[in-house]
Amino acid sequence: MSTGKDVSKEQTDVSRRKFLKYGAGVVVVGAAAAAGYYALTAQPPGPPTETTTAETTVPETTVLVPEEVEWGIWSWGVELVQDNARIFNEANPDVHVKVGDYGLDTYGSGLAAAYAGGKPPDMHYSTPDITITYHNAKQTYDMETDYPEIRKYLDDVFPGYRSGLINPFTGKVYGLFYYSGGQTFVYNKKHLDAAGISGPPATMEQLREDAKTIKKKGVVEFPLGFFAGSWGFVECACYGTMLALTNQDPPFMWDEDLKPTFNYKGSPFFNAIKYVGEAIWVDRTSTTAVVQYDEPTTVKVMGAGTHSYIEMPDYELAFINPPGASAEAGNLKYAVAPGSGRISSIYRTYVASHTANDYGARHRDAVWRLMQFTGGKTTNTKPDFASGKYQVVKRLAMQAGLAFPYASMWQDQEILDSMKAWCDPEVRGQALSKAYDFFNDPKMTPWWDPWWGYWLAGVVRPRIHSIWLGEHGQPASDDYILQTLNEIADEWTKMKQAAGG
Amino acid sequence: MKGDIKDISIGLLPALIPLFLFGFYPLGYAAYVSLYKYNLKYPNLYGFIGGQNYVDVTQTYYFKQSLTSSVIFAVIAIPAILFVSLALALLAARKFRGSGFVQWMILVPWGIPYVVAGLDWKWIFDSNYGLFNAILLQLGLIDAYKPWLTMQWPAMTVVTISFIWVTLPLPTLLFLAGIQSIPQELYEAAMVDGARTFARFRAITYTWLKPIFLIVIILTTLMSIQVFDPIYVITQGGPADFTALISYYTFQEMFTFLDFGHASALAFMIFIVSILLIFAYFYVLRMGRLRLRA
Repeated sequence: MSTGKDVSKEQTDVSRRKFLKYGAGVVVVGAAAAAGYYALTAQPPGPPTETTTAETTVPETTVLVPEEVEWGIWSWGVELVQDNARIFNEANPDVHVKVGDYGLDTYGSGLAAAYAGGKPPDMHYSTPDITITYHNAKQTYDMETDYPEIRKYLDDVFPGYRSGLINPFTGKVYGLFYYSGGQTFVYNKKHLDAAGISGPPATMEQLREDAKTIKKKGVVEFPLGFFAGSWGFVECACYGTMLALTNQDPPFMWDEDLKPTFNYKGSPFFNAIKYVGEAIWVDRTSTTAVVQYDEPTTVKVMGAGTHSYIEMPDYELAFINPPGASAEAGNLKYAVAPGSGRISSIYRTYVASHTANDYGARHRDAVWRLMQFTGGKTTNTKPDFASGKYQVVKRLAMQAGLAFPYASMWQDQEILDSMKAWCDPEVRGQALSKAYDFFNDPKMTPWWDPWWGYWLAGVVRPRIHSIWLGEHGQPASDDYILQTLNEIADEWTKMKQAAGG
Repeated sequence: MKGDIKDISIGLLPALIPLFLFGFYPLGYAAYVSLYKYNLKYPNLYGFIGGQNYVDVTQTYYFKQSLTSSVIFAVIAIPAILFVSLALALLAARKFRGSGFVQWMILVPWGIPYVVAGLDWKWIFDSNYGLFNAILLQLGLIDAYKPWLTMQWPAMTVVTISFIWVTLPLPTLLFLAGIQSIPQELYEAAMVDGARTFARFRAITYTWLKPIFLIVIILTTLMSIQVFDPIYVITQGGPADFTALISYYTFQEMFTFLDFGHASALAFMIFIVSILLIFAYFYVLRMGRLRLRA
């Protein structure tokens, strides 16, 4: 018989089953409440608003609080950027530039979050895939709308880069260049001398034979390097090889209606994939390790003398070639690419988001002044197209080895002298003058980067890597390469349709 | 009785509120977003599409491969963790000189983040200056450095090793606790009866640890479904997507392709599988407790 104390204990004890039942009930109610809350209250994103010219203006005579402008950057040369912002702020007390660092690997997603939140930076760095995304979403502001003088800059830009400044949806110039360059052809002169080769190859066939000679003479085991693990660059080692192999006129991959034109045997793209595959598996002049070559790895391997030839971003030589910078310092040289000489261009631009135009003319003017300081011509930070200098672009060129698309800068002896420590500026200029804007072949699309694998994940990159890794034959057969091209062409068409194209 | 339930519920609130805010709230929103076409690249195409995202993700070019890779990863990692952690626990349970140091060494990887561990293992297997290549070259087993991370199975192995190395301590501790709770009299009685080592292990140790085996299997399966850091750091899903597990593609859908609808659908699918495993865990736990009471 239970005592009063036992009865009391039975009354206070809760069975595990009952506890779980009530606990689960709380959880289910909570989850249902959350779902119901969002179903009833969540607002879908509104249709993108067209940027319009703001009508409010501020009289110049009024003493005002400095206009705050956010400059969005990725994490490269942050101290240099901060210093440039400081210089601008000190010379322009009516504007205050605030630098927002969106990371490096996280730049795309960080920027996407800012745009989705309605508060992107007023002006930010951009790669072509990012630019097209926000042009397509009508979230950018074309500077030419209120500052038609920006178009004059195009006259000073090498032809292979001009399309990089045009908004394909409006035809207007949207911004200016942060920097530009190309996937230049580089060779190791010491290796060539050791193999008895007099100079860089003139054709891709000669490149192939010279690589075999270098290998045969025991200079290096894998003379051919490929920048195939790159992210954030157009290459994947395909485009450069393709451009060099073909004398066909562009476009090379799609027609004007963006239908694939690369999926047949003997197409430039087909030939490029085959060329690299045969270098790895037939000639044995290259290695499967190239699929991991991103920028830091490429700098390391070329600095260590692992390869005799490579196409890589031109500014990498500034990290390898200065005296004492690497084991091969001074041995690496630019050359005009073999074959057609064409290389794929690299460029990063300054894009103005819609916020540049959302807060009135004064704010918009401040953003335009900042853009001209960072990417255009100024005198003492003040806009001066007629007689100013590309102040920040020049500083980046001299201090960091970045190249530039402005023809007039290639006449600046100070800049050319700064390059002489690590390259021949004349050859560099010749190589870059043959740059082709592969991002607009014929035109950029928002689904290009998830299709290509520009930021690693994508359809094309893993398939091509799979071929070069020998997973479908060593080398892969022509039929397999064609099958792959057909599959990626199908994926392109699907993505185009999903995007409403 | 009602008052007791009320008291308990109030007592649970400080735990339930953050759970709701940081668990159910994002989960509810993800479930909601998964029913919409929501791609930041195409804001004009936003709209309710029901379960279409779930269908779309299963038909993507990566789904079959990433599911296969996830299964391969789990099939390698789970048995490896199970047996190695048991072996380590059996070793740690013995009394010998330096056993304390061994126990400490077993726990060290637990304090290392997956990202750091991933970078370490990536460096060890680097194709140009990795320690692994250097050792093999010294031993004469290779004549030149190999790009291990560009080969499918070696890359998968490296990613798995990195994951196993950090994950091992927890199951080891669970097994160790279980082993230390086995009454010694059982072993003594078995020895008196003439049972050999393996027989004692099978009849006593394994039987006693059976619920823990199941718990470890379920926990490590859960962790292997959700693993992301080693893949991102070591291989970025390569070579040729062979190590791109489903969790990796969920990340890519969200942060690279900016397709929130697809990413939410994938995340919710992973959540459902995880929930089923959690229920299995509770069931096993309950069965284990009932058995112990008996």
